[in-house]
Formats: sequence, structure tokens, C-alpha cells
Amino acid sequence: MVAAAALVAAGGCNKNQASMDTATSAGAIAADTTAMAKPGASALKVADVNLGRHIDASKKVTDATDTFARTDSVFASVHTTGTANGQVTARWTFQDGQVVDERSETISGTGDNYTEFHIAKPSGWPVGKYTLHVLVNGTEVQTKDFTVK
Amino acid sequence: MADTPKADFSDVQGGSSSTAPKADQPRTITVQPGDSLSKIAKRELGDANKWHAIFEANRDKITNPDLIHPGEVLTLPPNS
Repeated sequence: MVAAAALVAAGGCNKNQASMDTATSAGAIAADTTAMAKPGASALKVADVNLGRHIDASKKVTDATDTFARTDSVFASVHTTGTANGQVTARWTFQDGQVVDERSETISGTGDNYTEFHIAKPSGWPVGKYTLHVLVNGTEVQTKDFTVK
Repeated sequence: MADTPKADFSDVQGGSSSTAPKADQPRTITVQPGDSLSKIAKRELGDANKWHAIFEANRDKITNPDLIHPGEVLTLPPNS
């Protein structure tokens, strides 16, 4: 019943036939389906994430490591691809589950981009294991573990 | 037995920056029963033909532009 209602929401059609769906589509005015084949904006995606003690002017990590001293600042460089706008979030957590810091950058995707996030603690980091969670539009896409010794 | 005190992160300082241009905070909408991408485009962007821009902005959520579900939260592209 719920599934049927969902289909009704989609195309005003409760028979899940591909041709019917296409016809009622997205209200897709049929001629516009060709637009789908044209190259266009692609989803914002995380290609890779690196951690380190420093970043350069291009927001890339220059001193990559997953082990930090208590007095280090921790930098993360998130490499994204895609041309859609989107929100990239870095959530840093400690081994006991506490959220150490969380912040987001809402970016206009223009192909390859690098977004850096950093955290520092003047009184020194508690020793232990930490995790960086990277989210795109609210969905976690990658994690990176690191240790403070 | 005394509980181990939680680590204190009250003095953490954080920051961020990006090589990408900042985008305005994207608007989002929640799909309602009876919606289609073109209906949403007409209602929110003023032009039903802009349904494909909504599709492209939500590629991570929508694989088939003919099939969206009530309750889904979709990001709207800038209205240009």
C-alpha cells in the first residue's frame, strides 16, 4: 500500500511499467529526455581524504601522517570531484564518541577541488584514537582514523 | 568505582577553507505526494523544463528521474 502510494507520488501512475513511468515522467516533457544524455553537472563526490600536520596553498596535505603529537594541529584535505553544488562536512570524533569539532563548507563544484579542515587544541590533545568522518550533503562517505600519542 | 572523567574538548579551535567557490546555502524541498520533478521545477524554479537541473543536483539521491518518493529531501539548484 505504501509502495503503491510512493509510485503514485512519482508519476501519478500506480502501474510500475517503464514506458508508463517514462511517459508520465518527472513530468519529463518527452523531448527533454534527450537533455539527460547531454553532459551536465555531475554529483559532488569525495575522491580522497588525507590527514597531516600542514597544508599548502592549494589546500593539499604536505606532511601526511596518521599519528600526531599532543601539540600538533591536525589538517584534513578533502579532494572532491563533480560540478554540482554541495555541502562537505568534517566531523571529528574521539574514541569515547565525543564530537571534537564539526564544520561544513558549502561549495560550488567546479571539477577537482580541495577543501581543508583543521583542528587545534591549545591545552594539548588527549592521547588516544580519533576519527574524521567526511560527509557530503549529510551522508557519510569516508572516514579516516588517526592517533594522538 | 569512580567513572573515568570524559576528555575535555572545550578549547578546540577549528577552521576550514576550500579551493572551490562558495555556493549559497542550497535550498531543499521535501517531495510531496503527487510531485514529479517537472512539477517541482515549475513550482520552485518557475520553469518545468528545469527538471533536469534538479535531477543533476540530486544525482546522489535519484537514479531515475521518473521515480521520486514522498518524503525525499531534494536540493534545488540556484534559480538562474
